[in-house]
Amino acid sequence: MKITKRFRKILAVRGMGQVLTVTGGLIILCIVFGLLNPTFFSGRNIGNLLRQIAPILLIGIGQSYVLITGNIDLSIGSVVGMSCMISATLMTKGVSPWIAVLITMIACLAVGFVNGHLVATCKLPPFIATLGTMTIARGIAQIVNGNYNTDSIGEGAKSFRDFFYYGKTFGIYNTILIAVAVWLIFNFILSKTRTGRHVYAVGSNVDAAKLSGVSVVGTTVKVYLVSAFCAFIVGIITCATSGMGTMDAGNMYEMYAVAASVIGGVSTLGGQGILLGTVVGASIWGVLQNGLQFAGAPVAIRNIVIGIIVVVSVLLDVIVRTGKPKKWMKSK
Amino acid sequence: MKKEVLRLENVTVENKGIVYLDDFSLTIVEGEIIGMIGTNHHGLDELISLICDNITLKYGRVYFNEKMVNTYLWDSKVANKVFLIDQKSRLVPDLTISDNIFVLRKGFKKYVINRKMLNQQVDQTMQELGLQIDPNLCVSQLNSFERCTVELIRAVLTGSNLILLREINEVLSSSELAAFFNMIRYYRKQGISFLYIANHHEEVFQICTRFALVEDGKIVKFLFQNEMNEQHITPFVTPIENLEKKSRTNNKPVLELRDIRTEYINGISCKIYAGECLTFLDCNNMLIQDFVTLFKAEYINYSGKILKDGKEVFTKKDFLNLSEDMIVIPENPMKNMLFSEMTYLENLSFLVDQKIHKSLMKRGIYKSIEKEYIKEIGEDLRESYIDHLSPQSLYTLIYYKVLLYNPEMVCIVQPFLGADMYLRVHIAKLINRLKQEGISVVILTVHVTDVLAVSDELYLIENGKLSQDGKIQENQSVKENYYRHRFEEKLKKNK
Repeated sequence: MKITKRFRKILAVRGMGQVLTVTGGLIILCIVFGLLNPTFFSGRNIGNLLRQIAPILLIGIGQSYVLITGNIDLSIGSVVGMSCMISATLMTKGVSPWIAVLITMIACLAVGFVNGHLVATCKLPPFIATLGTMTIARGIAQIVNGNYNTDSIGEGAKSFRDFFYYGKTFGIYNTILIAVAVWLIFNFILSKTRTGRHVYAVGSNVDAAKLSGVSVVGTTVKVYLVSAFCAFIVGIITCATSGMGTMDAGNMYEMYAVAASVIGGVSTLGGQGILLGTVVGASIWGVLQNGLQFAGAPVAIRNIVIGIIVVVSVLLDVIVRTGKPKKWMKSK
Repeated sequence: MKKEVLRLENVTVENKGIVYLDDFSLTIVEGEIIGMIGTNHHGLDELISLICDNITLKYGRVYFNEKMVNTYLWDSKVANKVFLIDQKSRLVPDLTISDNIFVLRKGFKKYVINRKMLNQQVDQTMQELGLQIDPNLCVSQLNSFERCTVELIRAVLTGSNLILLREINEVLSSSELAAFFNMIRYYRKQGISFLYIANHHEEVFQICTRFALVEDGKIVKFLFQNEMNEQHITPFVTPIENLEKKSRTNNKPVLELRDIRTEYINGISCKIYAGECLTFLDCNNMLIQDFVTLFKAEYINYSGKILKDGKEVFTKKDFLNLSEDMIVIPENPMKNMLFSEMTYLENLSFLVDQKIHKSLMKRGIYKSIEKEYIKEIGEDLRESYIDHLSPQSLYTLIYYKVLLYNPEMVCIVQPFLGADMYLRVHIAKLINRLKQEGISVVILTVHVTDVLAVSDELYLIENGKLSQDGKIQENQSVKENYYRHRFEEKLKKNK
């Protein structure tokens, strides 16, 4: 009786139904890939899989925030590249890794700040505004080391690399722990705080939000800052992973981020979605990449499958939101 | 004998077991203006869809221009040549008036557009109606009256011999409405028929030749021109009455405006007291936005003085405080004040978290709100989805949201806009509830009907100025008579 009540309570959370459905899909995928290749469930693969999922989850969190306000951040991938290149360049020039991280963070947040103001204050369409900053951020990533990838960040940055990628705490890779910590913080902000409610309010009904005293500009800037912060962390992780700065880091990540969010039930129309969905969305993405690789599918097939899943997810969202099936039924 | 334009013969429209039109019969002949009001809105959307698009019938037949176009025996789905003018524009905002009237219509075959010729034709039509609107203007630059006029001209030039008008009185001020009625009369003489669906019989009576009262998708009363008076309609309408009145407890005004001037406001002074309702009746439909921006502390270009609790509102901080103490309930608040993605309780408490300035809303706060309001609001309070709730319930949510915030003042823009008879009574009670709680209410409206029941003071504003006899403080019947007198006078003038 109590369990049923609790389950009902969980289901009553907005967007939870979709998350549970997608979770069902994730479980089926895992079983299928497990049957195709039993090593899929090996401890080593699971560890690797989670490490693969962590960056996607992180940028997914940032993108989810932006999508919930009814906007989009296309610059997220380029900010990853920028973060990777700035931090690596500074480290190769002998700057202490932690100071390099701090400088990188400020640079990335500046991009988020500009994005937020271009969209909210200058009223530029988010697609165009972030397309512009995407190119600028990628340009910065290329220019910081004179249009070359950096050299190795060296042994001096070992602690940095351990902290962000190679190290383990309580037997779990730090990358995974970082992703979990970031998720916990931003999930708490989104679901329990006033700021979180403002994020939903702006995406749900911007006029109502304005009339209720919500600062639309402030909220929009905040979500772009969250997005930039998440991209910054992923950039740092990428730098720690490869031990150098690569100009192509984060290429296409904006698409991965949108995919993780949308598959997890975050609405592209704004106002809907929970970060638990982003976890499932990122997991589906990771499992598909990993599982299809295990199954021997070429990269092209992997991309096609993932692309189809993204399109279907968005289509489902639009159908549910606009009530199109009802209209079709009516006309029939 | 006059030609029959539309005949609905024992029409029944049903969808998913709900009967929207029940044995509905109506005939409209050439040059006739049928007025229609619904005590509730049930079935009116379906009636419009039926006349315009021939939706599926359960029973009955529809004849348009003396030809059967729809029957319960087969689905026609062919649209009739009927034009609908309502609150929503059907014009393309970024194209000019002449483009909208001529180019964007079926049958316009010219490949190269001769703008000069089109403009001449528009000018000629405008002159016939006694209007002067530049045909090169973009539709987005037009006000509501001009937009409705362009739609009317478009309908006529398209060749529609039946035009549906729905609640246009909600977007036009009384003087604009009177001018619009003149145009309808002009086209009526040319043989065009109209079906005018509105919310207030007072306005419909001014123009129609026959009148139908609809309830739950059924015509309950037909009135002919000689029967169109209060005596015949009173048994069928629900008046707003028995609202508890409170006498003024504090003679110090909560807010005072002294000679306020903005782009459209032209020297208005007034005092707003706690627990009282003051209405600004804007005859020209120009001032509402100015007032809202002023009260929301967004307006910088104004002269005059605003005094809050006797102290002048001057600095940015003062304005912020003023905006915190005043909640604006906009036009169509169901759309503009609620978040459909949030639960009932989250919507209800949305303003509270602004007030208590806490970033983290404790579960206990929600629980105490739920406990406090469950008796008054009922089980709706526990709803996770508000989309399916009735307008009554949504209005309760909106006004209780304000009550919970407990501001000093509430500014309500056109509170009865688009509401049916029962909903209007409900809204009046909710406004009165605000007053009972000691909250000052400022109503901004272009129509006086209904607001009289809740207003303690009414300011008639013409061309941005208080009309000489603008302040009315007597009892309701005096106010109503006063308004009607003025309205009729205006009509006569326009005639």
